[in-house]
Amino acid sequence: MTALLEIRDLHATVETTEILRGVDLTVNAGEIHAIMGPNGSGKSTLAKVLAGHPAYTVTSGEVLYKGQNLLELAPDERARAGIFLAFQYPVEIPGVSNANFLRLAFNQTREARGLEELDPLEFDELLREKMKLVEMDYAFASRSVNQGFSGGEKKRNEILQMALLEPSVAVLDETDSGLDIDALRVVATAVNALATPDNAFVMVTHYQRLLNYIEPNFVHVFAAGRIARSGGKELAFELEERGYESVRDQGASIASASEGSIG
Amino acid sequence: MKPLLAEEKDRFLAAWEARREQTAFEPDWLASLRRTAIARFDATGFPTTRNEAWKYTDVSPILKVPFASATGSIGKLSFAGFECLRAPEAEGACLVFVDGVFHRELSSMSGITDCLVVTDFATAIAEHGDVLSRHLGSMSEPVATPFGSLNLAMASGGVVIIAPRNCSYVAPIHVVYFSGGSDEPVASHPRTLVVAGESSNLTVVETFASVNGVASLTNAVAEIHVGENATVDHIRVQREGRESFHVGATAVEVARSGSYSSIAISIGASLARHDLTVQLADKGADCRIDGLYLTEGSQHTDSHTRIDHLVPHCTSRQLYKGVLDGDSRAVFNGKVVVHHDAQKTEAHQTNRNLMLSPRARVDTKPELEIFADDVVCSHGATVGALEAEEQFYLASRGLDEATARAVLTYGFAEEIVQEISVASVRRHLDEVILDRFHKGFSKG
Repeated sequence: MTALLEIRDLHATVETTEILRGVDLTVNAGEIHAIMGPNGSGKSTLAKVLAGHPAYTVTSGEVLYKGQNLLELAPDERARAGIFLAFQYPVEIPGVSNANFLRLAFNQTREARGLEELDPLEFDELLREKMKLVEMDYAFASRSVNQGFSGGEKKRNEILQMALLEPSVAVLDETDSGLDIDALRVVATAVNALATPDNAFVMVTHYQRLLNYIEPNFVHVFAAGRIARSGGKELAFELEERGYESVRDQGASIASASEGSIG
Repeated sequence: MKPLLAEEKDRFLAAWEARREQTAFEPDWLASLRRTAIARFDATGFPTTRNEAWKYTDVSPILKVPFASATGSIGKLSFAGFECLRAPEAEGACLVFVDGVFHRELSSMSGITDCLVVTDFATAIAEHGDVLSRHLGSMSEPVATPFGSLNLAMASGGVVIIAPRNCSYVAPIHVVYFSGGSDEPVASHPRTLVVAGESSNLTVVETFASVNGVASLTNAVAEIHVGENATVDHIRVQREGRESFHVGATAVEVARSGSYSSIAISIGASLARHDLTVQLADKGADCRIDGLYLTEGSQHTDSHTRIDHLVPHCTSRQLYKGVLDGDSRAVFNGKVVVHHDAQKTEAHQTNRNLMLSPRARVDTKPELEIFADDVVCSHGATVGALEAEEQFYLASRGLDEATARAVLTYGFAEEIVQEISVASVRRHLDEVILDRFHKGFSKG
């Protein structure tokens, strides 16, 4: 069976600085992966590179999505094909109502997948249902996208978009950062509800806390632009106890050794 | 050497002479105001680009046109043609002027309650001379400017709104200044006077419109007195045809704990200028002034604003946005002056410009002059293309590049439009913006 996502020896730079230095990762349908690591280790960069952020240049390596070259697709093509990035810092768009934006995104994605577009009434019904899932007040539908939203509300709005767009691979870039315990629970509940045997989640996180609510199949530890260690959920607890220093000390040889176990 | 634009000035002086007969009935105080105004205009003449306030806006194209005096006829136009200008919310108080002349048949004033005076200028001179003589031309701006002087000297049509103490009129009052009733180019000088008494509440919509294909000059002035604890919501929509010239000035004075909010929209005319001056004259006075200009083709639009914080504890907020396309040009000059005694002032000013074409040009000059020390003030201006981060965000949600750009451009303009309190005016502008920037993006 083809993996949903296969990242092979991925190198990427921003301006002239190399941030990703040989990332290898395979994600299969039905899996939840957690990517952890200290600040500046490159884990958020990986998230953005997968979504096609224009500030990053892939210098070598490849990314296959359902067996196809993801890197040759424009960001909007990737999104319509089923890649979703929940932003660490969601962008505010004054003057565009959340509902209009969501419907436009939803229908463009539907069209690309050969499905019928929903009219405003049908979409509204779906939107209300999905907003309940993320415990968002319906009033947020008519407000401008993310404008004046609190940190937690912005993150919920990201998850709402994910729930509507039904991606195959969802990358959550530090979605848990800055969330209080209630918001974290809401995000986790939504992710758990949306996880199916056909899709996969890659959660970039700085804290082990999130993993109390969402149980990952794999935990990877980023260090210096690549995966330094991979393991099961127990790895997260080890990190919690011993910190990232222990991982750094073990060096890169472990990263290559662990590859086989996560394929 | 003959001064610049001297001949053009002489033509306007001759027009003033020609209409003296019509104004013979006017009371002495008004005749005297007019004589002073025309003398001041005669002394200053039309501004040239050597004048700092007109550095980027050359008015000489306006003055090349031989404008006739208004007849007030709607010519070949039908009454139905005016429907699109109406705001259903304001059916109770809608005054329509054609080339500056009050058109009673097109107007409706059935909803005006006892407490409120809404009338045309000529009637007001006869019936409310005391209020008029106290307030007309009483603010130094815009009377001192050449166009403002000309307006005061020439104004025959216009509307006078007087809200006594505690008068709260919930529905908007709509004033439509329409130009181009005849096939000849016409110049008009309409004048709006709003006197909002203590604790009164008003919403005033001014719509400036004209037909395409006929040149016209609208030289409009509005004076707005916001009384103690009064609230005035002012929406000004300039949507004239592409051959027209528009010069407008709005002067506002806000008394203690009074509140003035303004949304000034400029989307029409070949050359448009609007000066807005707000004096926060007593403690607790507040103003919020927002603006939106959309230009394309060879349009030129100039927004000049000035807010004076004269006393302590006043607040002002300003957001002016522009979207420029084609070879168009825009000017923004916003001055905020915090006077010596105006401690505890809070003043924020922002001007943002979105350039859709490499040939469009904007000259923006936010100015902040602070003579007090205990204040919170900010100002800034941006000129640029769409934000890359915003574009990426929309792309990451599956929107193709063209759609993403359209949505962002629409949203950029809509941020101002969505604040308009009168739904029909908001919807109309919404359509204009959708039509310009995003034909496929329905509001749903």
